[in-house]
Amino acid sequence: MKREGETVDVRADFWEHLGPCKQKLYNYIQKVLNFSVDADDVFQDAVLRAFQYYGSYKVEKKFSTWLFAIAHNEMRKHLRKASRSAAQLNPDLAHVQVTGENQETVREIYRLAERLKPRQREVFFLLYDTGFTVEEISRITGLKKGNIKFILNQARNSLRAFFGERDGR
Amino acid sequence: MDDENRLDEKISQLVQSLEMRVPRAVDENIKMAASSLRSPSILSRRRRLRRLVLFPSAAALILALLFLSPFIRKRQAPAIFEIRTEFEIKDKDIKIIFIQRNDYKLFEEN
Repeated sequence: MKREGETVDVRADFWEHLGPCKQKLYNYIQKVLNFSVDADDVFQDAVLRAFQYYGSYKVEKKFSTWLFAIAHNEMRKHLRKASRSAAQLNPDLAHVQVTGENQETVREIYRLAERLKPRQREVFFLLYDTGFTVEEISRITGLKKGNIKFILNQARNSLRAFFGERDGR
Repeated sequence: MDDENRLDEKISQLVQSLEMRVPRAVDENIKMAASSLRSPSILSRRRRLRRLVLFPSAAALILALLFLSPFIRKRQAPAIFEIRTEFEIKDKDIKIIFIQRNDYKLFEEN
């Protein structure tokens, strides 16, 4: 466990902290970037950046919030470059395995999420995929809580309408 | 509110049903890249802050001393080695020059 005032090699400490968050982080980046071919690179960059800046991580703060904030910045950088170079994001979910009974519903939800703006998509997945609270999402993205709640309400309204149509209401 | 919570739960379940595993190749790339990076230390933030503050402060102090030193040092009166006084009486074409030196002894010791 990391202790203040110790000059130790903290590689092992970092990987220990990363372990439980790694898969959630990977899924978050993949989903926000619409399963783009660049998502793996962005994930690697995010993890390495977190490793480099681990010295600045304060023990009293939640590691996952700190890590996802770094990932958020890496994704913003990537999306800025992608918009400038008109890189193609891969909207086709065919190569992603969807298991379970509600396969078509799941695909449809991801298609709805894909139509959101990047910032809205981030908020959507931070809540529904990673399970962060509105307060934590605010710390990760820098957005105000009011904005986050607005984004989530819009997403809920769209999905409510979709479920309503699907159920024939 | 209950309706909203139920909807949120439903959406979460559906969203989370699609889960991807981190590919082994990605994991290995990260470990390889990280091993070539300098190990982050707990004190690195403090060290960085210290460096940020210490060196510019020292440089500012030295510059301040250099600029202020003429004012801080006591002003010494410039040494006078000779006082030269000239008198001229033009109509008589006479010029008298008095030279006073600091090594001049008024009374010579025998």
